[in-house]
Amino acid sequence: MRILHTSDWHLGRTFNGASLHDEQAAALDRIVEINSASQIDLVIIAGDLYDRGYPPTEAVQLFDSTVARLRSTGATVVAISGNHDSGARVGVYDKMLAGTGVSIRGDISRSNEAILVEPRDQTAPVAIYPIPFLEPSAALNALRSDVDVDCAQDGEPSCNAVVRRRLSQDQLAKLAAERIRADLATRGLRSVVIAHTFMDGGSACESERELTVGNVEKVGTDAFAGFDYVALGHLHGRQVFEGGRIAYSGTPLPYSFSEESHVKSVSIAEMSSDGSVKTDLIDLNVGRKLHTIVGTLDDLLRSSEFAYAEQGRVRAVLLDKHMPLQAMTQLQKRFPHAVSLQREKDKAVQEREFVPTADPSRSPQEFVFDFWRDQVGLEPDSRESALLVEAVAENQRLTAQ
Amino acid sequence: MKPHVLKIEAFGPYAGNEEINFDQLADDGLFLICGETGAGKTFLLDAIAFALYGKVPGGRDEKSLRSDHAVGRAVPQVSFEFSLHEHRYRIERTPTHVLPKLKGTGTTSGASGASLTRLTDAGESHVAAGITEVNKAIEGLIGLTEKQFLQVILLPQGSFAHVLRANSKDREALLGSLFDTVLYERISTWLQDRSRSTEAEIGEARRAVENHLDEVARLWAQVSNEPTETPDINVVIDGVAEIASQATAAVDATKAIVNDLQETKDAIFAIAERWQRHADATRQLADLESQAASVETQREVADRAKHAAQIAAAIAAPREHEDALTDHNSLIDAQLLVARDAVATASIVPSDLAGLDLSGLPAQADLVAANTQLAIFLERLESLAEDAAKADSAEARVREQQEIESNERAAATESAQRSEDAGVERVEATRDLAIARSAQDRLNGLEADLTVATERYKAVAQLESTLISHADAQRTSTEAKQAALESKEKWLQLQEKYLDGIAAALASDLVSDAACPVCGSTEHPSLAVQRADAPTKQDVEVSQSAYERLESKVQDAVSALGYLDTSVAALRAQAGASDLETAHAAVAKAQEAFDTASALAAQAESLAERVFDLDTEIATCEDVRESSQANARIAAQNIKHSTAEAIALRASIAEHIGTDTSIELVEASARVLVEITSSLVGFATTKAVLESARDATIKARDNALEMSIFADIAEAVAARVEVDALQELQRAIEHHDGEVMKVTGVLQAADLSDLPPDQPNTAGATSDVEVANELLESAIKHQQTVLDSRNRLIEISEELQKSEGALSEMIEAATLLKGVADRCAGKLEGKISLQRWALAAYLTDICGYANRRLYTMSDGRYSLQVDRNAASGGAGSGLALHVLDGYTGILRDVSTLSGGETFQASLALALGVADAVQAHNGGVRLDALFIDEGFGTLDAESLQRAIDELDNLRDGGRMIGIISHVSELRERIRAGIEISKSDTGSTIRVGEIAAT
Repeated sequence: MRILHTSDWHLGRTFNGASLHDEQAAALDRIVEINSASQIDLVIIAGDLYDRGYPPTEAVQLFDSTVARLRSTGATVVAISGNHDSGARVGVYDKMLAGTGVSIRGDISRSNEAILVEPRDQTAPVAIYPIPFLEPSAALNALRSDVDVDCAQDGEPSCNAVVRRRLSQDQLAKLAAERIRADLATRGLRSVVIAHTFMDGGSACESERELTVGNVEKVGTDAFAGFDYVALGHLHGRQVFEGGRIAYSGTPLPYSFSEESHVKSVSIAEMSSDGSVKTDLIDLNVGRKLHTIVGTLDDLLRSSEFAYAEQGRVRAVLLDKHMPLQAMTQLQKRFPHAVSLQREKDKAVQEREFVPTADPSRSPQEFVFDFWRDQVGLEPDSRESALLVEAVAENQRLTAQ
Repeated sequence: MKPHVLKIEAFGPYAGNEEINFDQLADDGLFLICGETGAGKTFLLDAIAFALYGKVPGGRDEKSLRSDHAVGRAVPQVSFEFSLHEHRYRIERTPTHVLPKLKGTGTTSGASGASLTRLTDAGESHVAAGITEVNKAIEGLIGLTEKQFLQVILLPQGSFAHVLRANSKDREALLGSLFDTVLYERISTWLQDRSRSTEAEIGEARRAVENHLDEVARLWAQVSNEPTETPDINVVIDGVAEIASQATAAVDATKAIVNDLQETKDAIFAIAERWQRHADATRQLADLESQAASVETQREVADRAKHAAQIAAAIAAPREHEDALTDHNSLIDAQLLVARDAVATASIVPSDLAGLDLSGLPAQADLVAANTQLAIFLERLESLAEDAAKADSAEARVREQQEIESNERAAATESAQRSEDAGVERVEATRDLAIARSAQDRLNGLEADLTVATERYKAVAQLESTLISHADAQRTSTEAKQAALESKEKWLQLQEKYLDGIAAALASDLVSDAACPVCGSTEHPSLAVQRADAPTKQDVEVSQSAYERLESKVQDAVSALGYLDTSVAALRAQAGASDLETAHAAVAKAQEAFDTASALAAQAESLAERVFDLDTEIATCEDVRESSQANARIAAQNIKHSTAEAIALRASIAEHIGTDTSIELVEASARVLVEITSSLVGFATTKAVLESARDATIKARDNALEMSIFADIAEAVAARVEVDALQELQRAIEHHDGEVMKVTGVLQAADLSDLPPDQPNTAGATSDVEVANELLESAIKHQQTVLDSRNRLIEISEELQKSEGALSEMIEAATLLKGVADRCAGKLEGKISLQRWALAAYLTDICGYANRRLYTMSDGRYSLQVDRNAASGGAGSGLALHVLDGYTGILRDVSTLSGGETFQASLALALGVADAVQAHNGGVRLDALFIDEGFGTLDAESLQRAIDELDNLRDGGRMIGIISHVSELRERIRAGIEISKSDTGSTIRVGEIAAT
């Protein structure tokens, strides 16, 4: 069975205030193209369909039309909600879509309801289990079932007994996977699991939002043992585990300067009848490229070295010692899509540890001399020094009384 | 400061009891406070502010804080538990409020109150109570006033940007309260004060110099009578010197004149003196001559008095002796009277004395004899006194011994009695002892009896039960036998049948004339017939074993029976013929006998002891009685002996003095008599001596009178004159004579010879001299004044030099001091003061911390800068904040930022303040931060960055509460406090916040 695996479209996202809609539309066009040309049995969109819970209208419309186009080739389309999506909104008509070949799952409790796909090569159907993002407050209630996963911690009772305690992403993933295994066992088919989570060992970049506020909660690869292909979303760079059984497709477009060097693609996974998977990557080459250019303002404006970046989305790092005037305006003359401007000096300062000048460990006397030097521009002469020293000492004594 | 629990009752929109446990939310660190508009989100923060400071931000009237929906008479209260400096506290506050009356309609007001308690593992300890105390305590603990708290921890709605937008003065106040710059202010003030006081000193020094110059002018004027305006001191000194020398010359001239006049005067005075002397002497002589006649008379009287004095003593002497004699005689008479009385009253008067006639003085020899006799008598009396003493002690001994005798007799009698009593007791005790001993002997036998009786009783008891068992066993045995028997029969039958069967089987095989495998016979007469119900060997065996089992059971039963037989027999033997009751009675009886005997036997020892003690006592009593009797006898002996002695002595005494007087009395009177006689002897002797002396003096008198100029005694006496008067006369006479001689001599002196006839004129000469002296005096005074002035001027000159030198030094030091002071006070060229600079340094640090966050939130575009130099001077300088826009490179005023940019900058700044305060000595730890709204101004990307930034804060363990209705936040932040509004007030729920 042939699977087209993509994820993290983030429709409706802006890049430093600039709308990405057109580029996203172009990327989706490309994906639709690939889908039509490749005899795809199953299209997987593994979460973060939109960038926000309330996406803008045009984003919704784009998604709607794209799904229709994908389905029109006969491929089954299965999508899940990610941590950016509002699961309830995204998955609102999923029950009604049953049997139509399209499934957009946002309800965690239905994560063990299989969608059967019959591949074109007439081999046995494959069971697809879409697991929406396991939002901690909703997930526990949704997954509570007769299947008990050992999530005892510090003497806690089994998961089913836990009422309001927060479970970690790893625990929730294991719980969901168990339910799926229970269902799979009754079918004896090849299986594909779709999930939106942070796999332990994966590499992140600046643009992923933390799954739970404040916690980088990772899921171990052992949680998804026993499934033939695990299609993941959330991390923006494409990467695989266990030789390709578990994979992230990555975003179709770069969404932050930390993805500057990523090659954006979709994955085509070929699953043979024994369940083993071979993956190909198809680069998308869509959207404005990201470039970080470093130099003095003068260089950046004049040097031909930077000509390649003129049409790209540019982040400039200035090496100038002093802040140049109207730097952004000037930059944007050459690089109309310059979105970020920083000074190397400032970056360096930001990276260093901040040392306060009003260092509490400096004695008042040193402080007063600092003041003198700063205001007068010279060291105080011997008589002035003596007077200052006396003033400090005398007042310290008086204050201490 | 870390919040733990907030409890609200009947406060603001919260009608009932609401509780927020921040610890629950602490794990999440970042939480949302959400609810409808007007539900009371902001009021939650107000409650915290109220709890701590007693005031609600926004200036709401305290009385209106009680919830309008409050039930009944619920009292509004806020209770807030928090940790600070590693201690945990709870503060409770109630605002003044109005309650419905208990009875009737209308309202009554309730008082406000506050209390602060410290909570420890051991319990609660009271820290402060009452609003004033609590407020003070809180301010000291937290270190922030209400205003500052609202700028640093609790960032209320709409004033989030205040720190950013505040003018420099307000910023100064805030910074000043967070960072301690008092020292620098003090240094500045101190320098100013010093500068001012140095100025004052300089002023004084200048004045001193002027005073000197004034004095110079004055002195010159005084000396020269020429006023000078600004005198040069050296010129003045020279002028004064000139004048001084002139004055000296004048003085010398005047002195010469005075001397001449003085000489003239002296000469005149000498002549005047001689003239006077002569006149006086002449007058004196005339006076003396007029007195000559009376002086002659006096001479004669004195002469006669001398003669009378010479014989006065002799004339007086005899009278004196006569008087002495008369006195002595009266003494003798008195003594004789005393003697007569003594003799009359004396109890014993020796013979010689008795024989004297005491109406007149007896002869000396008689008196001596009586005296001697009396002395002998006294000696005898002394030895008699000794005897009396001896008699007394003998009598005392008698009494003593009598007492001893009676005591001893009594003791003897008592002992005898006791001995008798003891004897009686002993007899009794001996008897009891015998009884006890016999009981002891019998004890063993009785014990044995008891044992037997007990055994028998036991046997009887057991016999009954054993008999029953025996009967059972017998029955069992019989039954078993029966059963066995039956079983055996069955078995045998079965065996037969089986054998028959075999036989039959065999039989069937049997052929005539063939040998039977069993018996070998070839004939088979009665062939066994196969039976239908032939049992198998197995059946047989089963039956056999059944029988065998039963048989063994029989054996058991039989042996059991046999055992029981034996038991019964034994028991019977033991029990004898008695039944249970009898046996029990026997046991009881034997026990009683045994117990009694034991009791008696137990006493044996103590009884034996008692007998022994009694014996001992009897013996002791006997001894005592014997010894007492012996002592009594001895005492009787002593009595007899001493009595005899006393009688003898008393008799002897009575012999000498009779029986109706004592030796003491006799001795006393004898002594008196001796004294009297001795004195009488003395008197007699003296009398004789006095008489002869008198006679001698009479003779001498008569002689003296014959040889004098007087005719008789009367004349001699009349011529007498007192010694003093006589001396006076002598003196007067001599004086007169002397004077005459003196005056005569004077008149004949040499220097009174050539004298002028008239008296010389002394008065004129004197006045001349006086006038001259006056002139001299004034000249000297003038000279002195001038010299003094000159000295003073020299002094002043020296002083001036010194003063001027010191003054210039002072001015130099003052200039330096002023320079430094002004610098520190920021008064120079638009620079800033030390304190301000310090605050600016802190502000720079705050911006440093803030910029780190702002960099992340604005993707490196904005940073905050402090304007260190005064732009326009004045109070606002040095603490101005500007924003540097990286895109334009221009410093912008903070008011030019958009809403969203302002929020970012304000948030960064607020966090920067918290960071700086914490880094700097950690005096005020800001562990919690509450932000009321403002997130609505951010676009999605900026919101994401802001949340990321807030998220990073939680690493420090800080808790951040956000009030916002921005739905994006509800998507991201799931933990929080949800406030629900209803008609009856608002309620609070803490926990998971569902996404909208």
